[in-house]
Amino acid sequence: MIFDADILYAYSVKTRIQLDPVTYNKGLFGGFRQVIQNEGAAALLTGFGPTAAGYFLQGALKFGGYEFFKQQFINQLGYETASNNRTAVYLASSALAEFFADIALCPLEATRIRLVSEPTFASGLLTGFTKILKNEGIGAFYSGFGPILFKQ
Amino acid sequence: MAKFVVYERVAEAIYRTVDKNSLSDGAKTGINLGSGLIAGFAAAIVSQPADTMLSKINKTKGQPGESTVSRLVKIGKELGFRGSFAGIGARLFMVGTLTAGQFAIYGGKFSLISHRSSLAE
Repeated sequence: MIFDADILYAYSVKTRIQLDPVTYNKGLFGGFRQVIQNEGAAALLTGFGPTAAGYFLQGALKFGGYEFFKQQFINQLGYETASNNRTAVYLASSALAEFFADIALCPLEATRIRLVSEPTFASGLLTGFTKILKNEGIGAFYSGFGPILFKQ
Repeated sequence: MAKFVVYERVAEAIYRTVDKNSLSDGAKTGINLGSGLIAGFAAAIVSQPADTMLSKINKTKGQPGESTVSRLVKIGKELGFRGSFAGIGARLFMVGTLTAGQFAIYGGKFSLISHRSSLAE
C-alpha cells in the first residue's frame, strides 16, 4: 500500500469539509490553509493512524478477497462462462470481498472520524478505539456500516 | 465495486489496442496507474454521498432511543443533493491517487497476490 502523507492530509481536510461545509467553503487547498490557520499544521495529521491502518487492511483484504472470489467463480463456472460474463463476475467478486473487508474496516473508520471531528476525544487510534468501546459499546463502531457498504 | 469493474474494463480496452507482450514493465505500470486513476475517479463520484453520510453519522453520538436508520434519514434531509457532494474535490484527489497506487501494486509484479486471473481474452 501507498501511504503518501499528502493524501492523508487531504483526507483530514476532506472530512472537515464534509462535517462543517460552512466554515470550510474554500475547497481543498483553501481548506489546507484554513486548518493550518485555525488549528496549526499538526491538526492536518489528526486521524493519521486509523487512516493508514484502515487503508492497509482494506487494501490487503479487498484486493486479496477480490482475487480469491474471482478464482472461485472461475472454478465454479468454468473459464469460458466466467469470461463471457466477466462484468458480472467482477461485480460479484468485488461485492463479496468488500462486504467482508468492511466488517473489519468499519471500527477503524468510525474511530478516525471521531478523532477528526473531536480532536480532544483521544490521543490516538488505540486510545480512541478503547474509549468508544468502553463508553458506547461495540454497536457504536457499526452505526456507519450501512453507509460504508453503500459506498461500495 | 465500481472501481474494480471500471479498472478491469479500462485496462481491457487499452490492451485491445496495444500488444501486451511488446510493452515494457514501465509501460504496463503506467497503464495500471492510468486505469486505476479513472477507476478511482468513478468510485469517488459514485460513493461521495455515502461517504458524507458516514462522516456525519460518526461525528456525534446518537440520542438515546434514536435508531441509526432514522439518524441517516435525518442527515440525508439536512444535506440535500448538493450538500452530499461537499468535499468532492478533495476526495477525487485522494481516492484517485490512492486507487491508482493500489492498482499499480495489484497489477504489478511486486504484488503479494501471486496469481491473478485474467478473464479478458
